[in-house]
This record gives sequence, structure tokens and C-alpha cells, in this order.
Amino acid sequence: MRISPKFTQALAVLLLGSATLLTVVVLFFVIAFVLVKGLPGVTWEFLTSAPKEMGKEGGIFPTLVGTVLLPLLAIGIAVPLGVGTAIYLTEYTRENRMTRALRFGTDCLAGIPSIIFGLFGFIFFVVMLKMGWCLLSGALTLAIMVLPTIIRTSEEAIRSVPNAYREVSFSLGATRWETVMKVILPNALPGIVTGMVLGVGRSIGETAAVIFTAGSSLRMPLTVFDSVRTMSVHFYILAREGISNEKAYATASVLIISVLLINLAAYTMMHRFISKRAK
Amino acid sequence: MLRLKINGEHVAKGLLTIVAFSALASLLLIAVFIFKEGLPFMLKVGLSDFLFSSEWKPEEGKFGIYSMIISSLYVTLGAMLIGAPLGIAGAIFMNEFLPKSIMRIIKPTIELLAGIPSVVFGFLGVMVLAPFIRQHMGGPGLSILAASIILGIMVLPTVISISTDAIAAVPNSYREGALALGATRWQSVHMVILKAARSGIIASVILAMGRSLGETMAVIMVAGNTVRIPHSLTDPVRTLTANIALEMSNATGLAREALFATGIVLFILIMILNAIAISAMKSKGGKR
Amino acid sequence: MSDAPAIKIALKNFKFFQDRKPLLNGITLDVVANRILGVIGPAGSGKTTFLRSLNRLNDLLPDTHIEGQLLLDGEDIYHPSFNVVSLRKRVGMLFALPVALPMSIYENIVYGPRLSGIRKRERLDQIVEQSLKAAFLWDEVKDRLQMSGLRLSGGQQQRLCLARVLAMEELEVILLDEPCSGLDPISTAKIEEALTVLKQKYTIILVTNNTKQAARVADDTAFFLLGDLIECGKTGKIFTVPDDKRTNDYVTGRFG
Repeated sequence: MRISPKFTQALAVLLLGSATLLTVVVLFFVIAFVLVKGLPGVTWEFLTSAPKEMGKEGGIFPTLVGTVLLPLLAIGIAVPLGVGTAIYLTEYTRENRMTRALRFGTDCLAGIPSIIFGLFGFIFFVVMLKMGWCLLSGALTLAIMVLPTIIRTSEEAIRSVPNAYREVSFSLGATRWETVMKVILPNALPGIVTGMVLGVGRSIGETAAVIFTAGSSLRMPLTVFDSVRTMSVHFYILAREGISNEKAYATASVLIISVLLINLAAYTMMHRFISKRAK
Repeated sequence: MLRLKINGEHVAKGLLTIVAFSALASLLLIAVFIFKEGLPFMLKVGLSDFLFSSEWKPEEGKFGIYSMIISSLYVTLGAMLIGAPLGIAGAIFMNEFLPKSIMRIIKPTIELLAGIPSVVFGFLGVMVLAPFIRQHMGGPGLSILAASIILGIMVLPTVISISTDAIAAVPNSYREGALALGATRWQSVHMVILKAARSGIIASVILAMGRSLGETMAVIMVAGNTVRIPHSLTDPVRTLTANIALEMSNATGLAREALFATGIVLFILIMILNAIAISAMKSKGGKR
Repeated sequence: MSDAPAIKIALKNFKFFQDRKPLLNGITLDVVANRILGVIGPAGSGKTTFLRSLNRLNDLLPDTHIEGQLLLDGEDIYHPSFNVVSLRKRVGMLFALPVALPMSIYENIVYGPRLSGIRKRERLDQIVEQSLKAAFLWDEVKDRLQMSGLRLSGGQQQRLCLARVLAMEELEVILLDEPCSGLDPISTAKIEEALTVLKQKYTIILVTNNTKQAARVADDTAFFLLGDLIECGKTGKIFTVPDDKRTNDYVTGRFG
């Protein structure tokens, strides 16, 4: 007896649909579970006061500061390096062996697990350069981590600027640098900023590379050589050491919401960039 | 005044060259460093002892990572068995059977979920999944199964995202052609579209594998971290990544070099996977 | 007015190579000041390469080299010490596709002058008005100078590009590369009208696919074929009794 194609299709739709439903449900469950258990604990006091008793009581203010400072510093290092490299690759060199090697290198590095960055950062910055666990060690490590992404997105943004603009600028007597600054960068900016925001989003959720380089001090950082604890590290420690489930859920909630907001911002920016291009 | 401008241009180019080379240097630095620290160790201890002995006792100078390699592979495989079918199914369903309007809401949402930190997943694994496994299947709960499930969920957004792109990139003419020949939607999917999107889908799975192999924090929280070759799904295990993280703080001397060597093994495994993914993406229907 | 016409640009056996391939073979040509030189020829004849050699825009292509001399007011522009940036301010160019920079109309026009260091607002305003008037565009856009240049119609954008070039104080030569190819007849007529007025101040070289346009507008015409300059002379002569048979075949439409 031949099974009718319509039947197979109905079966397929059922299975695929259930799979999709399961996926969506599970992912939503993850967020919902954490938020339900955690949001009640997210009070103004929680966000603005310091932790007491290793985090069992009190709030997460120093970690909020750490979570803001660390990615910002990392981006501050990675963006000039990354955008500069992208400009160099697209505007100042022809496609040759060196540029291909650079591109291959950045692609490779994009796939390296963060723990290896943590290992490197720990041995190189913290131990060898004797910088100890601090903001700077963490920021430098994170910067190297997000550098490939920044180079890639910046390069794409710069390449998408129409060549005609370059020609016009040159024909009006501009130098290459002036063309880059006045025509190309302003046009590529949305794409570049999107890459930056994605880099920040990734840094905020990063734990493995951070805990071994920036340390886990609960004190407020005053200089870049102070150790700092980010929210994800704090959350990890609370969870693993079993210090306080309640505070853990609350911290996780703040973490999730921040990351979601940032990704949302990046996504909207990218969309506006794409729609502006379609002229 | 004119001469100044020419010099300014040279300065600009010089500066940018320095910047680009600094960036390249820092990227090289990490690669070189890891190999420089790890390779001598491999030579000292012997590659076969390192890779194929399952005795990991740094205090006694034994550095066999075999059990951890196996554990990493098992956990990743498990994650793929869960994440790949669900993810691909989801991608197919969203692209081919869901009205565009709903798809346009769900896809970005799933991509947003990709941003959730891994530690959150790990935590849920500990609080919800592990006790469940302990209760219904025995063992300590923290196990390969728990790790596989958590990792499988974590890679879902990746698989869905890239597979969806691959499926969406199949030209509409393929679909219309199949339907015009009297095929049902499902037939057009499995006979035509999947074949066309195959390389992209495979690439998504392989990339997800790379990410599972490299995941650390979530795995530490739910896999149990015992150094042994697992015999059942409910056995606790320690993966390569967990090993690096757990041993890092105490490791000195030879033990520290062992961690770098482990890093090299991870690096190579992931590099191989990425290379397969890239060649899979290029081979069939190279859209770029 | 002196008896001998002033030569603005002179090419002496000028050759252009890209990637070792010759694109222009030994061009010798004098371009007289304050006249419109029309450059005609079929596709691939080297017209555009010729034009772009005049403002060294060809430098942007990879693997190029030249032989011979290209003189602007007696100076070889390909001499190593010649300032390319200032060359491009004296020799402006209009492209086939009107490319307004993604900025306001105002910003488009002051782009060049700003590069030359002009900062004063009144001066820039003055330049904008003068250039737009000379390009016959002022009346249409004078109330919306802050609008993006991309929102103008094709014909308006091309006149904007013309105004942009005219805004350069140092401008002496205007190069046009098939500027009306995408435009409707009315916009084309406006641009041609502008050129006839502009030649009093500038030297104009107009590459065109449309022989009728050359016949209408150009004082002199040069015919290029496969990288060679076949013939150059007064437009009237080229179109009625040219010296070379190939010229005759082209202008009468036997090929092209």
C-alpha cells in the first residue's frame, strides 16, 4: 500500500512543527524560569548596593560597574585596532598574500574557545607581564577575542560603500585619507557600530576568559590595575559555590536583560543600515 | 601648504600600516604563545602518552588526557544528536511551512536568545536538569546526558540561524519548479531544497560542533568533572575545556605546560572542524 | 585675443598601459583652450582611458604605466614631482552615472572647496549659489539645499555634479564622460546649454557615444578607434569631409 504524499506531508509538518515548538518553548522556558525566579530580587537596592558576605546578602553594584567598564575598555582597545586594520586592508593595499593571510588568521581565531583566551590571558598578562588580575588584563584579553569580529564587520561595511563615491571624491582633489575620513567612514559607520555592539554583547556574557584575567574582587575598581568582578563571573561564583540561589537568579536576570537589550539594539541598527542601503 | 598635505597622507598610511600590523601581531601572539608553551611539553612527555593515556594525575607527573578527549567527543556528539535534528527541523519548518509574518518574529527572537550567557544555561542544568536525571535515571545527575542536553539547547540558535540562511538562499525557482511538477510542499523540501541547502546545513552543524567542543562554563557546572572514561550516559565526566579551567589556578611548571598542550589539542580539533565547515560551504552551490 | 590659439593640454606620443597591455597607442593631440573638444568613437576605443589620463584618475587602477608626455599648460602632469591632488582641482570630471555623494546638496558642493581650506560660511554660501547658477540648477533647489543630493532626479543630480565641479576655484578644465547617457532630452539640453556658456571660462573635453551630440556642441572633434587617435579637427570638417575613411564610416553610421 502506497502511503499518499499528502499523508507524508501531514506527518512531516507535525514532526517539524513539534520540533520547532519544542525549540521555542525550551528557549523561552530558560529565560522565563530565570526571570520569574530572579526578577523579584531585582530591586533598586539590589542594583545599587554592594554585596555583603560574599554575595549572600546585599547587591551587585560593583559587578555592574565591572560589567560596564570591562567591555567598554576592551572595545576601546579593539575598535581603533580593528577599524584601522579594516581600512588598511580595503583602502591601502591590494589583495595579496599578506591580506589573504591576515584574513585567514582572523577567521581561524574567531573559532577559538574562550577558555583558551582565558588561559593565554592568564599566563601572559597576569603572570608573565606581572599585571595581576585586573581590568587591564581582562580588557586586553577580551580585546584580542573580539578583534577578529570587529575587523570582519568593519571590512564588510567599508567594502559595501559604492566605489563611485571614492572616484568622485578623488576627482574632486581629495587624498585617500580625506576620502576615507569624509566619505567612506561616515557611510560605513552603521555597520561598524553594529560590529562594536555585538562585540560588547559578547563580552558581557563572557565568563571563562574574564574570570582568569580580571579576577573576582568584589571591591569597586578605582584604576585599571584593580581586579574587578563582572556580573557573569559573580553569577557563576554564586551558583557554583552555592552561596545564594536567590541572588544568583536575580543576577542572572539582570544579565539576561542587559544582553537582550544590547542584542536588540544591534539588531535594529543593522536593519536600519540595510534599509538605508536599499536605495 | 601643498607639501604639508602630501606628508599628511604619508603619515596616515604609515599609521594605518602600524595599526594593521599591531592587530596582526596580537593575533599571532596568542597562536604562537600557545604553541610555544605547549609543544615542548608534548615532546617532553611523549605524544602517545599524552593523548592516549587516561591517567591524569599532575601530582604524580601523569598527564594523560585520553579520557577527557573521549568525554569531550561524547558530550559534543550528544549535543549534536539533540541540537542538530531539532535545529534543522526548526529551520525547515520556519522557512517552508510558516507564514512569513510569523517567521519574521520568531527568527530574530531565536537569534536574540543566542546571546544568553552560557553560565545561565549551566545553572539551569544544575538546578533543574541534574536533579531530574538523578531521580529518574540514577547516577549523580551531573553527567554526560546533562551536559549534552544543555549544550544541545545552547547550540540550537546557531544551527537554526545558519540553516535558515542556507534554506532561504535556495532560489525560489527550485521551489516553484518542484511544486509545478505536482509535488507537495514536503516533497519539494526533501527532494529538492534540502539537497540544495545541504552544504549550508552541514556547515551549521559543524560550526555548532566547534562551539560545543569549546564550551567551558556550562559544562563545568553540569558534567560532573570526574576524570574517567564514561561507560554510561549518567556517568560524570570531565571535558578538555573543563580540565583547563579547573586546573589553571594551581598549575605550575609541567602541569601548566600540559594545559597549553591541551589547548593545542582543542585548537587543532576545532580548526579541523572549521576547515570542514568552510569547505562544505564552498563546495556545493557556492553562493558567494 | 592673440592670433595663435592657446594650447591648454598637449599630448605628445602618449601611451597608456594596464598590466602590460596597451590601451592608448601613441596619442599626439593639442587641446585648445576655451573650446569644447568632442571625443567620439565606438566602445573600447580608449575614449574613457584617454579622459581619465587627463586627471590621472587612472592612477587608481592596478599595474598601470605610461610613456610619452601629457602637458597641462606646458607642464608634464606625469612627472614624479607633479602634485596630483592639485591637478584634480584644476581638472574636474563628470561621470556617466550622476553620483551625488550621500550628503546634502550644500555639502556636496562645498566638499571640494572645504578640502582646499575654505571655511568661512559666507564664502561657501557664495560658492554654492554661483556654482548652482552656472549649472542651471539654482532655481530648482535654492530652497532645499539641506536636502540629500540622492533625492534629486537623474538630470538634476548630473547638474549637481557639474555644480560640484564648478565650485572648485582652481578649475580650468572640465572633463565629461558621456554625461547625458542616462538622461532625458530636456536634461541633456540643459547640460549642453550650460557647456556652451562655460567654455568661455574653461576648456571642455566631452566624451560621447552620441555623435549627434558632438556635432551639436563640440567646436573640435577627435575620433578614437581601438586605442589610436585616428583624426582630430574642427567639428564641421570631421562630420562632412574627414581626412580618414574610418572617420567617415563612423560618423555616417556605417559602424559603431
